Amino acid sequence: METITNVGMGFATALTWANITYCFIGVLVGTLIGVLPGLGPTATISLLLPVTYYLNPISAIIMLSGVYYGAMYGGSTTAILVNIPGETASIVTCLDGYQMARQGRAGAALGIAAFGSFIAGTLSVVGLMLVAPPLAEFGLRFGPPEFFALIFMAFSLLICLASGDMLKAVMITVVGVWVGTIGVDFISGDTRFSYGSLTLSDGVGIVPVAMGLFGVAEVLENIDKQEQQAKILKTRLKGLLPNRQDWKESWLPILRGSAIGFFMGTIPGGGGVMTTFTSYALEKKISKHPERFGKGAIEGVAGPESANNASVAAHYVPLLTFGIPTTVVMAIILGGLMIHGISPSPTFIKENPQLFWGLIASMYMGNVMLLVLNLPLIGLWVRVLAIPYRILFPLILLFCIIGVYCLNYNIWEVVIMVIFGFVGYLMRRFEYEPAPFVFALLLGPMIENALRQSLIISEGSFGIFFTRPISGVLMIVGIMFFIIPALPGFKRKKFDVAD
Amino acid sequence: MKTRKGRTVVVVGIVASLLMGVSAAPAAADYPARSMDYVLPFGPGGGTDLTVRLYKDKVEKLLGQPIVMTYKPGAGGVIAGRYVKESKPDGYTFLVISNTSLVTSMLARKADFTLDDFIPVCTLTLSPTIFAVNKDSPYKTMKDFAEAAKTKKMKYGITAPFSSSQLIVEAISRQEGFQAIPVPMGGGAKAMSAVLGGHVDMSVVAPTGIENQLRILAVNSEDRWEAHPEVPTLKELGYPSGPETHFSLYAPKGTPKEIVDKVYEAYKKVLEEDREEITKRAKGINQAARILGPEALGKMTQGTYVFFKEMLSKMGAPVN
Amino acid sequence: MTKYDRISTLFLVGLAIAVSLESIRIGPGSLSNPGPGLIPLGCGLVLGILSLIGFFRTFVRPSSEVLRKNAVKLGGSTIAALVSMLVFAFLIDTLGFLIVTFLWMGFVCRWIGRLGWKATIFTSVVTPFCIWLLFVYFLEIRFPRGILSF
Repeated sequence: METITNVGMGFATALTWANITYCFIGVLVGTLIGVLPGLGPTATISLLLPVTYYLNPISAIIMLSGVYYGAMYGGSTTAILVNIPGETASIVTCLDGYQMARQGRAGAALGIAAFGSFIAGTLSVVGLMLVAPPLAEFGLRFGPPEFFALIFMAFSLLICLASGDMLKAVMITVVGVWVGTIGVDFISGDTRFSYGSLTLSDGVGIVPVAMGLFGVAEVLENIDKQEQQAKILKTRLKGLLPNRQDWKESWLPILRGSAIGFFMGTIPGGGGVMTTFTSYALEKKISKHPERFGKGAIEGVAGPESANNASVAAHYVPLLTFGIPTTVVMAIILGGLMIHGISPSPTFIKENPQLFWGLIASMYMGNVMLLVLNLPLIGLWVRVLAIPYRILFPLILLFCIIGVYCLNYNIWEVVIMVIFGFVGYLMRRFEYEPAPFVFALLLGPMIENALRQSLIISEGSFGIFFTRPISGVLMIVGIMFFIIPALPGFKRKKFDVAD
Repeated sequence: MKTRKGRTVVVVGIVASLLMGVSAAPAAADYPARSMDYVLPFGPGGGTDLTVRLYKDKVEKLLGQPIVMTYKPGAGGVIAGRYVKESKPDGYTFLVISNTSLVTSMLARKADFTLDDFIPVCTLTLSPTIFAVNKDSPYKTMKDFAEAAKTKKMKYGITAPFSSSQLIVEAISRQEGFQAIPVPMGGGAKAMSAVLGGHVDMSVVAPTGIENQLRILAVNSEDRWEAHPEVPTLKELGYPSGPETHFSLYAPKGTPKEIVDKVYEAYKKVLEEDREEITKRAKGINQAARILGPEALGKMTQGTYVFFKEMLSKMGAPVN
Repeated sequence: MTKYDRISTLFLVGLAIAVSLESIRIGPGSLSNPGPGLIPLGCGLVLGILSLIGFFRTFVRPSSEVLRKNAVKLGGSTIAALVSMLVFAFLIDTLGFLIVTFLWMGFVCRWIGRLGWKATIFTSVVTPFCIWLLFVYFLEIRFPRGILSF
């Protein structure tokens, strides 16, 4: 009963005109920056932080959360429309979302992303209400060995999933891991493979690479076959929204994605890309027709998008219970809370019911607003695709250049993007998939660091991965994922990469 | 958020100064005649960015000119440092960096500048280094920890290798005769969650705001930590301490002394007048507002350099 | 195509050797005490083995793939687009972002997109203007000014 009073109080707090306005501004700004290049939620939220000095804590947090939600969704929009991930987490959405757009189903993709996000957001808010503290405890138990095991499992999924030639997929994954090692090694302090270049010593950024491999390479490919392309992109709009068949295929992925996103979001470092990637991998694995993935399978959009949104609510769990920010954005929100004298702790929720429940209610409100804001926009976005490609493609390229440049104001990163645009073009010709490379680039450093940290802690013993319960379980699952495909009774069809 | 009027001032100011061409170093009385460039070694939302923003609006009001944030991230400060080193020393370009990061970039990151390339202007905030253990850990004081460390190899979380945290622990362990292994976690929050989750025995980092859930054994600073005055300092306990980390302003060599002093005075005045507000803001980012002048900062930076160099060579680490 | 697979796998063998050598120089440490060179060395070795397998596979398994209709023909458009982007990047700091955008859009629209002069000029002027409006005016994000004063 107390919960219901609390929820009521929360909504009363959140549903003031002032707060609704702040929420709306937040979501609007967030969507804009998610779509626009050059601005990530990090930069924007920190730019907005001083504004919050003058607001009361609840309104401030409501606005900042709105920005975060909006940015998450905005990133998917560009991923679907032009194969450019606005956020690292949206890379997964490029895989099937863009293919759907090419088939004239951009509306359905955008729609299912919006609805999926909404449903996931709602479910995760409910989850947050019910299980916040125990879940936070769970997240805290993830130390380096658990993290290693988790990523190990992700890698085994990654390799398992290769459509097309498995050998090539593994090869390109290994190359990705190597590229991920370029730069400063934060465990030893040495620089690797940078040969004096200051830019390289910071590592090969995921943004220039993703923009290059996905966005630029796609444009290059299309420039080549200009006439054909014009036909494909002039989408025969098969309806703007997901149809019944789409929903039938999507509702379970949405539920599963929500669960994955919610649980993984509580793990420090587990949010974002890991959740979307795991959801995608899972959907592909349990699908009866895995060959559809990568060619416009709506589950490949529904699952990851839901996971993404669910993880946002989950990020608040460790933040409010322990004050541990799981992502950079959360760190800034934490700063905002502390500026207002609010210090998170396990008793935070009990001591600040108004703030906590107001936040919960506002998160829900944010989800509603996202839907309300974005659904009508779908029609607009789809029309963007109808712009003649000859005008569209320079804009896309410019978009990429601005996006990469505004990150660090470093022209060398633009150069890296161009190089990877070329590499991406070659990879398509030589039949290597870009997605495993990008994931390896992201996950490689993470798994290496987790490995080395664990070995430092265990003083060289590999047993640490198996003697601790959580990591032990994850390791075994991961090993099973590796072994199962190799078992003799297991039929794995290899598909020629059709054009 | 700047107003339209403010923006007009900037545009007019820039056009005017372009038209006037390069003039000789402006007299301090006219300073500042246009916007000031603050070069930051990390991106928006990073530590230095938030530090500047503590004071920014008030200093802009006092000096009558906007502060423009220029982000030059990369290589842990080397890129920003290099940029400022090569800037004109006319008082309109400043480097915002902590004394410890500056020294680290010189000694461990192959920076091509030295301390002589910069003039210290003033400190902005203090960021204490704390020694945190889990509330359930058996070590109630630093002494307990040091004793236990003699028999058990302790692992402590730090942000990055060869940072001041590690060097301080090295100094202590050498004096007390124990061994402790640093586990670089790649971030303050990560190090904190590692100790909170019981994955390491202790973490030595800058505060992240969740100290209430941990036990703080000691703090590395001259005076006790304002936020937690019950925590003893390393000095009090008889352990060697290291340089305190202060986020500060530096100017390129050759910047006129009058301008340096004027900037320092401005910050001093802002802190005096709005102490309560600024302290509150600083608390939000786990720093303490502190304005010290050019001489103090210069001595501090020099001392930091000496300490780092000494410890790094003792540890056999590669030094630039 | 088999020929392409041979080229790509040989390239990867070369890469693998280079990476492995450099990793050894960096210092692999040992399995229980990994150094910075360990994972790269692992990558190099695995890559080397796999790419050798891939290379020899092209002889054993004659390609039954459909002849790809898009072979690697580096069209002029592709190269022009790539090079123009590099030039763009390098000119940003000297000429200023807006001017370079204007020039680049003009070049790309006209020579790669093959738009008429009117459409080219229109797009080349409107685009930088919109960027200026959005980024500099509303969002106050600094772009390199180059030779212009705004």
